Amino acid sequence: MTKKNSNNDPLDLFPIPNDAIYINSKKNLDPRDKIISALKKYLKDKNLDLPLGPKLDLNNPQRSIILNKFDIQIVYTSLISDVIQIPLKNSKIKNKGPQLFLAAQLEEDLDVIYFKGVLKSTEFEKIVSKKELKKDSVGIEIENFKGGIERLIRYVRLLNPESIERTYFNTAISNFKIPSLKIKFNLSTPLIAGGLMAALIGPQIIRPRLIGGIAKLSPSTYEIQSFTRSSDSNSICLLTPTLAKNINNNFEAKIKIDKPVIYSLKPLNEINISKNGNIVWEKIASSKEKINGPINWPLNSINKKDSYRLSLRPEGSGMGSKLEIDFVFDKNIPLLNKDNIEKSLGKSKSDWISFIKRNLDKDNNTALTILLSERAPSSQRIKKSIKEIIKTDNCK
Amino acid sequence: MFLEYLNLLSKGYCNIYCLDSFSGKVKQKLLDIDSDFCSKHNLYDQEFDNKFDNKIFDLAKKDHSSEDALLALRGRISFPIFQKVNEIFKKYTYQFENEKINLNDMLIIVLDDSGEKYLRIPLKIEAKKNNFVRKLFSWETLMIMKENNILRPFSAEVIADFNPKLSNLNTWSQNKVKGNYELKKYLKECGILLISPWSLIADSSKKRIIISWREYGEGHLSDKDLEKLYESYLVEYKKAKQDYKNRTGKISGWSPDEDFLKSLNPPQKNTEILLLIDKALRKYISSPYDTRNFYEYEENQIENKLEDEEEYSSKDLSEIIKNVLRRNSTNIVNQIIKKDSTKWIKDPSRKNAWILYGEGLSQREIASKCDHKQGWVSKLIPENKISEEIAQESAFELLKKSEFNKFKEDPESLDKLLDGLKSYLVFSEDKNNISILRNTIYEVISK
Repeated sequence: MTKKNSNNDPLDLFPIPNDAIYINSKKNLDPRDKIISALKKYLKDKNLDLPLGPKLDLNNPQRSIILNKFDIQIVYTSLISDVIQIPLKNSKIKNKGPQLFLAAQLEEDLDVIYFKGVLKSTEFEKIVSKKELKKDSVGIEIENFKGGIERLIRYVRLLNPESIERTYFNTAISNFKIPSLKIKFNLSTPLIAGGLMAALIGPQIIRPRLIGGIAKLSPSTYEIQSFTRSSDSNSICLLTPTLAKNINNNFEAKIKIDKPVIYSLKPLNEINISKNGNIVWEKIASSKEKINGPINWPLNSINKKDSYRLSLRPEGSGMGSKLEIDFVFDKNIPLLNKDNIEKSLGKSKSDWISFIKRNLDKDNNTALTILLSERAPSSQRIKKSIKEIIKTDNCK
Repeated sequence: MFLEYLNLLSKGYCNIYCLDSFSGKVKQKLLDIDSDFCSKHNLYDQEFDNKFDNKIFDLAKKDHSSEDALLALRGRISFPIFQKVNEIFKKYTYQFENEKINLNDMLIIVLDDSGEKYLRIPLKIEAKKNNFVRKLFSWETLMIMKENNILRPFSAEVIADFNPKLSNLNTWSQNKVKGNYELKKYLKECGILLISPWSLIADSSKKRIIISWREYGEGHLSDKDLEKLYESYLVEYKKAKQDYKNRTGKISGWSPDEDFLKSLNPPQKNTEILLLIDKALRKYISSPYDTRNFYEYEENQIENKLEDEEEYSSKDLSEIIKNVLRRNSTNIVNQIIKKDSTKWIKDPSRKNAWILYGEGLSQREIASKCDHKQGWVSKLIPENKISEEIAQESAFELLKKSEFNKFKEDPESLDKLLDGLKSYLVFSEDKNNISILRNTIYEVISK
């Protein structure tokens, strides 16, 4: 069993999101009524005159709400929950399923409501297809709901109500069947959108030159003093992290992310990581298995209070012939959280690419950590970029 | 340092920590406990001890019309209450860069027992105009208050619900602080959620329970046993909470009793395992807060959804979009600035922050110049929200034009359009490297 930071004090409190809506509700109002009150409050604050119904039955928990002619199922859970239960009753009836699912997180006794985001019927179907369906409801990770209440307003205010299909699935079948979109375009609208944006902003911004950026990365070669007769010219060709020498003439790497990737472009005989002077992880090459390729951080998140040393021994070198690198951190800036970044990037290829590209110049270790992450989405551009890294093998 | 200071404070049964209403500071007050009672039980020299806590607790119940043992208990629990509030204050002012939170405001809520021997309690609970009666603060009185749901001060609530079989008094008191409704309400206004262990377990999925236990669990509990315990907890918790709500009319403040713990699978003798599950959950959930998410402009890097390979040469459309964006930016920024300017006399740093943002400074730089935390800046100037509002308003206008009609039919394209507009506002820069949004803000304020 892996145990993390067991000495750290756990949190007693959690931040309420900045966008949470605070209402003053009457006693005994049920959660759904509170959510509708919060929605009304938002619409009023934003001066949005969108019809909300069904007028005579708005507070009926069995029914979806109708906002500007869109059928929306309100689903809710508490502020700290990670999963939301979605009743499927309406979705099992043809032409009655919702077009959108609006997720609200609320603290019932405090009258705080936070709209986490929206799922379209198609998005819902994709997620549910991977789930084991219970009889009347399905549990979905709250992180799937994106965009806050703004995304809901985006859709209901700007789209035609027919543009989003209703959710529908046949009972007794565990996966959803959603009819294909009624509206087909001759010209792909996403292309128009992209084109317009290109015209507006210019290609220099919209074309993330990820591969170009990768190609510019250059590894550094470090000669390792050998203690064996046979191998006197061993070297390590390190792409990341980038090293500098400190005043004591030792190598150090400035680390900005809590789970940095390590990438030597030449094979290694041994790699180990020490924490506070003790080796906490190591890998030794065998005749069958070489140490090649990127090494995603094999330990728990780096704690800046601890000291870390990375030790690399190149292929063909004997014991003691190693490159030792101390990790250093910026005292004033906390480390980036890799897991959180990945969670925020979600499955959007463009977001991943954009993030990587923008960080290449600033801190290539952060950029490469995300690029080489096991969680990176399957994308041609990402694959090409990874290939490009191998091409940059201009180690001398 | 601060916690070290707390450790140096005397921890006895003859003193009570309470707020001095004149100085606004916490003081230690000697309790008026009968000297014979003190001598008999060696109270003056007795340090905190679980066994002794239970002994005094039993005494308070046994001598139900006497106040001395109960008074000693009230003094005893004032320290963990004080300690817990301090911990919360210190940790969260640092952790969440929260500037609103005030230690005294929190202490007033839960450290409201000044060790008086007598209490004034309402004569008729439901009467519109209450007449009060003066009662000795004894176990007897405590039970009357409990029956009528008028447990006040907070120490009365802590002691009345305490069951030594389930937990020690220290942990119990601190968990009661976490479940206090008034404190929750106060912290809500500061943008912070205080959550009791019992709600946290119930609000977590099976997956989160298991993962957090694997990573941070401190006891010996297999996945299978944990799963069983959690599933039974969920079922029983729902029932117990509903029952509590029916009895008290409250949602907050419930804590497990012996019957509840027995009903779990496997039955629990005390709250120990549940509290370890809670601890593991808190560590698991708080791990993202230990390291930061994004700094300065990094948050925008994720929002930049622009990606395309196609060329498009419609300069006219581009001009239309730019004009619409410009007009809507000015209108919306005007409204936002007008609304915020009502607070500038009271807090001039708000205006300064907007100006500095308009000049192109990063959140961190603005925070430093305005002598605030970075969280204050991001809350004051929610760049993403403002750009979304402008983009939506502009799209609303653009979609009325025939060239843009198709966007109304396809949510994905609409998303692309809006994200593109937002990126244009936030990323496109003029010759001085200032974005359109920042420039608009600067112009509006400079008028």
